[in-house]
Amino acid sequence: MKAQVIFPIGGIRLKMSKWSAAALVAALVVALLSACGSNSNKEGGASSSPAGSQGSGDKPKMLLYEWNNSDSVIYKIADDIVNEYNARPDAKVVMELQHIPGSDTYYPKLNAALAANSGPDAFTLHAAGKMKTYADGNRIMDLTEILDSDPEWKNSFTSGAFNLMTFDGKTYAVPTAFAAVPLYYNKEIFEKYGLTPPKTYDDLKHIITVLRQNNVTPFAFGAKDSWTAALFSEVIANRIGGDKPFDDIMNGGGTWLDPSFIEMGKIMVELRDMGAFPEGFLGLDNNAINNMFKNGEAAMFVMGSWSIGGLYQDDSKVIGKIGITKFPTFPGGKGDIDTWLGQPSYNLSINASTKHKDVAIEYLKIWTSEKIQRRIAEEAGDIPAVNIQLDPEKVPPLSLELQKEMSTMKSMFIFYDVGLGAKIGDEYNATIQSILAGKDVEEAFKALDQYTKENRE
Amino acid sequence: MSSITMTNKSRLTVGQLVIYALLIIGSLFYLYPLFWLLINSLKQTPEIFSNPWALPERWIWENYPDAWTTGNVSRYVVNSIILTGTSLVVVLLLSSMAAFALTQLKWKLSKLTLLYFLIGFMVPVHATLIPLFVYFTRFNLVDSQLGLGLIYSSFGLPLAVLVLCGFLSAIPRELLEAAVIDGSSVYGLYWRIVLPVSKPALMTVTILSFVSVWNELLLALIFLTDQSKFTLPVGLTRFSDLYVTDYAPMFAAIVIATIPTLILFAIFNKRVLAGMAEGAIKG
Amino acid sequence: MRSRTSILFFMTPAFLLYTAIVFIPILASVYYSFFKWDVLSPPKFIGLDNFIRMFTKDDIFVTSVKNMLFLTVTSIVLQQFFGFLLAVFITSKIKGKEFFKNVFFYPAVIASVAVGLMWTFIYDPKFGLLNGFLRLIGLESLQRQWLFEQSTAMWAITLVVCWQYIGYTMILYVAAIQNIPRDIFESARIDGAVGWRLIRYMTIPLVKPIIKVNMILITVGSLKFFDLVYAMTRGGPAHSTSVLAMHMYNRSFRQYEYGYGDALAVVLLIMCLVATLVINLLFRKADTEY
Repeated sequence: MKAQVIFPIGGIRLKMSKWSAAALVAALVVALLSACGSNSNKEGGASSSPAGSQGSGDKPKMLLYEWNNSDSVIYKIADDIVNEYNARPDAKVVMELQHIPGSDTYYPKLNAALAANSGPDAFTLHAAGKMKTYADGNRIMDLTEILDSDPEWKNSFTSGAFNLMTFDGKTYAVPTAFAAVPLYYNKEIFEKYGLTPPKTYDDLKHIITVLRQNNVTPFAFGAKDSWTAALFSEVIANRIGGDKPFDDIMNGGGTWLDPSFIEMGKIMVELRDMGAFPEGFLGLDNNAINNMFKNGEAAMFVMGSWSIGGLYQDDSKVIGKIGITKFPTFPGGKGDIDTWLGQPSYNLSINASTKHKDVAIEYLKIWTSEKIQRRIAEEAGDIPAVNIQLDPEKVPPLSLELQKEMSTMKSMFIFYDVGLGAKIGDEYNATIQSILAGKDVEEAFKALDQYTKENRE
Repeated sequence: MSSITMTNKSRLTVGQLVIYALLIIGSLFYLYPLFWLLINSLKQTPEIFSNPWALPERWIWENYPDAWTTGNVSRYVVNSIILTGTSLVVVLLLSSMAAFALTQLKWKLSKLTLLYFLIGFMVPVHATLIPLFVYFTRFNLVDSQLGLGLIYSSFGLPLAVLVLCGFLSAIPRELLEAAVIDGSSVYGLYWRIVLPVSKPALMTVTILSFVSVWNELLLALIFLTDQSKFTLPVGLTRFSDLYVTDYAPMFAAIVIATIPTLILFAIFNKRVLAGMAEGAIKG
Repeated sequence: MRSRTSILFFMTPAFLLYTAIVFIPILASVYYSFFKWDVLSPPKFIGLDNFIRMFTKDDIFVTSVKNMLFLTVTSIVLQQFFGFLLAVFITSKIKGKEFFKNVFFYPAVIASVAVGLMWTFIYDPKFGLLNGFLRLIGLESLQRQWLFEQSTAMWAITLVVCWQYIGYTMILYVAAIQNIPRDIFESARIDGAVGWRLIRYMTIPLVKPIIKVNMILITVGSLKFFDLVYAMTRGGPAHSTSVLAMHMYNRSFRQYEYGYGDALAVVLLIMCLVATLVINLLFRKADTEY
């Protein structure tokens, strides 16, 4: 068809035809691609959204990132906050909220956006070491003065709330909820075998033995997602050695060859050999173990309070059958039974180069307002970051139980991989994995110690 | 003897029987997982973990309409189709032109040029992600289907060029020489001889390129922000959150996503076979 | 006819698009491999430090390369053999070509997440199909933790990779075989060439260009492979099943070491180039003409 045009008749005609054919091809390609480009433009409004760009109407857009998926309560709360703000007549911007579920998807996207200087104006971050990377890179705003200038706001937070997001005296985020790691146990199974929640390691060993004799899996535990095994080990390490060994490491010193870590490694191996963990646990990821416990197939579970929601969903077989207790103590251990492993779990930071500083601050304040904090506690079952009185009727029973257990809390320490940042933290997780897979405990920690020294920033 | 020269349609040779047997056994090995995917898409996720091989206790048909509506799968499927379709057209056109030049119009550096294209195939996408993203932001091509389409088209070129070169190099000289003698221009050669004869090759490249783009997740995830532009793989991520994944509805979404592509393939494969017959007669 | 203009005409569009969007970012990655960069702060030039570290201090690198090479060699053997065999079967005088073609190809279309999960279940030591089957036929002693024991892990993963991608190789061979003009087969058959001899002396030489294409595809595809490893074992336990692309992903995206990740990518690129050149040398014989 078109080819007929390109017929070699004369020199000049040939050239023109060639180029017109080339132009045609080029035009076709461009046309095709712009067709889908304009498609997206028609429907989606502006085709890019760097912080502070012009959006629909005459109000600038403010971009927000968060990491929950659509089944989560926090997702809905976030949407509500944004919709409410946008509906206000005095709203100064149009808030656009992006949900990017999963930390393996959230962080790459956040980092790419920041690298291109088109990142969100406010976003969620994990605390401690992970956050420090962003502070060191001057990506998040120092909120110290902002907090100091509003004492009422600053004092509404629970004591020590900012501990894990303050570096060199500067605070870089506000927490909106806390998570802690209790020991969940299946009351039905315990009753069946005449067991009571363990207070000491010997109690725990007894429970494990009884359960094994009756072919019941003691712990829903897996090591495929190394962090799930790691948090288990961290609680044990704290019970044995107290806060100091890990605090030292967090502060740039310390050593992984501290006796409490070695002992913890040996205990993990002892538990494994005792049959405390499911068969094939090396291949069980977080989904597998959560579902295992939800199906009533394991008697105990050491996991964060974020799992509480899942235990109440209608696909759970254990609604109303779960109890919460503190992780037991170890003989001669320096750790206190009232020390909890946990973290501020939904922290909001402001982009250091945002053009909407005031609105961003307001956004943070909305999240920590009594109304929203109440929703977080009642609907999501999370631990609020702000001092409020909760109505026991409205909070999920397990959350209430957790709060009761935590009412005597003396201190909280953070997950090692969050505390140390991904580089060293991931290596710690891998070390626990390797120990469970058979590596010698001392060798494993020696290698970790070496790695840590070499990779300190 | 008779089984070789006289193929009696109702009698199977031993060879054919063996082939059928092997193919059928192989197929079971391949079909069972699909069956597995189907039955597990009709359970609730915890049941997948307690009872992966059994039929569902309760058939949760709702997973499908749920995936379609609240999962917004309908929109994502459309986006995926548009994006994949357009990238395919661009890739086919550009790669066939390049392969034609590289195999028929050879010049001193043609082998090197092919290697040049291959380099794009040798690097995992993650490596180039950040520079590409920064680069595209500057040109305002982030969060646009145009931008993502350009990326898919470009990244699809190495594979397409490689495969097409493989096929085009086998085109008999005489075919082309005859056309040249008849006065055809280079462009005529390309358009009226090479392209039609390479239909099977083009169809094959279509299928292969389709597969790479259809399931592509990372780039789509990083480059798209507006939910209404999401492709299917990005849409699937909504079934996971920070800690857990809801597999059952995700499987339903995957089944919804796979079935149209299988239908497409069935259509394409028929075309390929038809093209074969055509090509064979011509040759 | 082979005028410079016509060559330019046919090459330019692809060349431009590819250079702008693929090649330049690759150059950027090579550039950054000489830096220390966590994406959030400005990059810091450190010369060859990334490479030195890779080759002297990084145990995971060594394991990853070993695993990657294992995957590649095994995939080449399995995929080429079975891909070709299946193609020969499918193009022979049987019914249901369409059906079989689709059956063996569809795994390539399904998201790796699902394929990975499926096979993780099949390999599960307690209630997986594989161990279950072994128990059924009385070979209980052969049971293993397939994905997590040193001796079996990489085999287990490689088998799934091949399962997913044999259809790819097969489809290319099917097209190649069907490209061979009928009369050549007919005349060979009349000459008495049948079955295995037909394949060995006719089919294989005639599809040589596609053998080479498949070789390159499988090799490079395996060297840079990532998806299923991530889905099935995340490279664990403790990095023992990691492959180079997985290691690169971890360093770049999880541990904020983009410079080092890019250095790993450069090494991967060089390995692919070397492999391709070797393949080219092996196939140096002229293309078959008929």
